[in-house]
Amino acid sequence: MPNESDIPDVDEIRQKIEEYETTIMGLRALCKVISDHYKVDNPTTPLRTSFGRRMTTSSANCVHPNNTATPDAVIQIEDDWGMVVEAKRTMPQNNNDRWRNTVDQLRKYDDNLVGWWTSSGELIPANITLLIDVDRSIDFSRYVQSLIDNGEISTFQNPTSIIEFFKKQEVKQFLHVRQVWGRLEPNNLSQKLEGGKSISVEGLIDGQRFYDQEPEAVEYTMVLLWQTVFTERYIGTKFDELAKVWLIDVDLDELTESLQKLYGQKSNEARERTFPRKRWIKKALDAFVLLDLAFHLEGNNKYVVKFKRFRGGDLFQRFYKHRISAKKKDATTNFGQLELFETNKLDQNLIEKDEDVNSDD
Amino acid sequence: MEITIMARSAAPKYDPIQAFESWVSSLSSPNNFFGILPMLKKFDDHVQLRESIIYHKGDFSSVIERISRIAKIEVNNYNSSPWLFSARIIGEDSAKENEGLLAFIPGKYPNMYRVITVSHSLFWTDVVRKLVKRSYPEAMRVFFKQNEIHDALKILENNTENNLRVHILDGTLKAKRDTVQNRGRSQFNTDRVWRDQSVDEMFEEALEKNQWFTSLTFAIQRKIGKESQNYFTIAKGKISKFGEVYCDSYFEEIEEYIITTLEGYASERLELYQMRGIRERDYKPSPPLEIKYNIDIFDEVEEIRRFGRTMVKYPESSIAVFHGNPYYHANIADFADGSSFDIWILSPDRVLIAPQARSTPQALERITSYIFYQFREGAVKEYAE
Repeated sequence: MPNESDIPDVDEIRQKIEEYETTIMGLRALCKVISDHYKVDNPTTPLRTSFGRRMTTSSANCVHPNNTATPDAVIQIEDDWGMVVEAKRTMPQNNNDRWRNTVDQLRKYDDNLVGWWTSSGELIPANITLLIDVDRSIDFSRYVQSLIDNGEISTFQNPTSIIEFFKKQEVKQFLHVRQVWGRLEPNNLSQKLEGGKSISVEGLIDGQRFYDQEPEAVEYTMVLLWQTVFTERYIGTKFDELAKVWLIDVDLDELTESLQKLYGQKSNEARERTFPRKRWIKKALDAFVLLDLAFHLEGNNKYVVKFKRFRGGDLFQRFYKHRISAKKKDATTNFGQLELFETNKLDQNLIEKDEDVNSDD
Repeated sequence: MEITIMARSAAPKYDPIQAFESWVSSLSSPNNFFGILPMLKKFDDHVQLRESIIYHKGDFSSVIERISRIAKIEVNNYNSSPWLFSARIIGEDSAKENEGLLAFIPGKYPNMYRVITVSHSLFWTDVVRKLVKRSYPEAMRVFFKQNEIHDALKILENNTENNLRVHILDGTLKAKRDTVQNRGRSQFNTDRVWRDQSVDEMFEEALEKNQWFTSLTFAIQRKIGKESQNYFTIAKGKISKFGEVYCDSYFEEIEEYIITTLEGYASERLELYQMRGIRERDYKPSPPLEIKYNIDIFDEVEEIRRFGRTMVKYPESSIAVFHGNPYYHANIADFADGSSFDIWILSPDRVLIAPQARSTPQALERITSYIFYQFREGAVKEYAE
C-alpha cells in the first residue's frame, strides 16, 4: 500500500505554487524598477522584455561556446542597455557543490551574447543578474565570491549582480528586491538596487502565470485548466446522464496553445521561448485521468475531460489527491508495467520534442 | 335617488391589473411604455406596479423560453408581442393571483431592461422573480447599494412639492454579528424595523449601527394642513437591494427620480464591467477591478478569514484558494456563465478582482453583488496604482 506520508500535503503544494508565482512577480518587479529608473529621465523610454529568450553564445564562451543560452528574462532599454536574468526561487543546499551549476549558468551569460533587439543582435556591455530568494542570497553571494577569491573562476567581464527578492507584509503586500552582491551599470541603478526597492504586489498582478520553468506542483496547471478553460468550455457540451459529468473533448496541442496565449508566452519569433509546454499540460491531464476526471483517447493528443461542478471545498484539496491515486497505481499495478513503460515512452517522446524546440531545456 | 345609488354601485370598480393590461397591450412599441404611467390611478394595498431592473444583451424571448422550461412556468407571448408575456405556474390549480402579464421594457440606459407587472405579490414572487433569477447568465438583475438607494430617495424628496415629504416606513436590515462565528451559523442578524422617519435619519442610524437595508418601504406623505405638523401617506413604494422597486401611486415621479437614478448607477457599474475577459481583449489582460472600502477593514486578520469563508459559499461556483492569510488569493469560477476571476486582498482597504479568460458583465455584477451583500459594500472602479 502507498505510504501517504511520502505525499506532500496540500499546504506544501500551495507553498510550491506560491514560490512559483512569487518568482514571476520577482521578475516583473525587477523589470518595473528598471523601467521606473529610466522613465525618470524619459517617460516614453521603451522597455523590451522577454521571459525566456534564446541568446547565442560566442566562440569565446567559457561554458558553452557557439551554443544557446536561455536566461529567464531578457530586458532591454533602447539600443544601449540590457540585462539577462536567471531566477531562482528555491535553491537546494550546497551539497556536492550543487551551486556550481548556477554559477556556470551565470558564466555562460558572461559573453557577447547575440539575440538582443538591435540591428546586429549584440549589445555591449550587458548586465547579468541572478534573482534569488532571500533565504539563500547571502550564502550564495559568499559562495560566488569565494570561487573568485580562490581563483576557481575568473572575475565576471560583464557587470554582474545578485539580487534577492522576498514578499513582505507592511500596510500592504510588497515584493522587495535588493542587490546584495556585485555591480550593475549604470552605477546609479546599482546604488538604487543596493538600497532595495519595494514594489506593491497589487501592481504586479498580471495575466502571466507561467515562465520558462515548469511549475513544481502540477496542481497549479490543473487549477488553471479547470477553472478558466474547462469551466468555460463545458457549457453546451454533452452531459453524460449516467456518470453525471459533462464531456469535453480536448486536444493537447490546442489546449497548450490556448494556455500559452492566456497565461504564458507564445511567439513566432524563433528566439522566443514558448510556455507552458505541451509536456506540462499533458502532465496535468494525466493527473485528471488518475482522478477519473478525464480519459485518454487513442493516440497521444486527445483527451476527454469529465467535467463536474465542484460545489464547496477547495479544488487544491481535490486535485492533490491524484498523488495518492498515482501512488496506489504504482503499488498495485503488477501487470501494467508494460503499459507504464509505453506511457513513459510517450512522455519521453514529448520531452524530446519539447527539447527539440527548446534545445537547452 | 335610488337610481343614482344603483348607478354608483353598478359602476365598474377600477381594476388596476386589468387597466394596466389593457394599456400595455395597446402599445405599438415597448419604448412607449413610460407614456402610460400618467394614466395609472392609485392602486389599492395589495396591488402594485412592480419592476425588476436587469442587465441583458440580446433576445429576451429566447431566454424566457429556456427559463420557462426549467422553472416550470408557462410563458406565452401575449398578443404575438415579443416583449409582452402572459405567465403562470404549470400544473397547479393556480390561483388567479398566480397568473398575469409581464412586460419586458427597455430601460433608460444601454442594455438595461425592466421586467414590469401590475400584480399582487404572489404573482411577483412565485412567477416573475423566479423567471428573473433563473434568467442568469443571459440576464442579471442589478444590485442597489445603500448609498445609491439613499441618493435616489433624496432626489425624490428634493423634487416633490413643498407640502410633501418622503419618509421611511419600514425596513429589513442586516448587520454583522459581533460575536465570533461558528462556521455553520449565519454571520448576520436580520431585523425588521417599523418607523416613520426621515430618509436621512434612517440611513444615518443604519450607518451608525453598521446595518444595511435588504429592502425598505418608503412613503410620499402630504401635510394635512398649512399649520399642521401631521402628514398622511399618499403613495407607498418599496425598494429591494436586488434590483426591485414597487409602488402604488406617483408612478412618474418614482420612475424618474428613484428607478432611473438607481438604473443609472447600475448601468455605470456594468459599463465598467465590459470587455474584461482576457480572450476578448486579444489576450491582453484587463487591469484588475477594485472594491474599495472607506475603512481599513482587512487590518484585522479575522476579516480576511471571514472574507475567505464568504467566498467559499459563493453559489454556483468552484473555488481554488492559493493563499488564505496574511493576504488572500483565490480563483473563483462561475458554473452558470463560464467566467472566472482571481480575487486578491493585498491591502487593508480593498479587494481586487482580476478577470480571467472569460469575464462577462453579468458574472462580474453577480460576484460584486455577492461580496457587497454577504461581506460589505464598497466602491467599484478599475484599479490604478
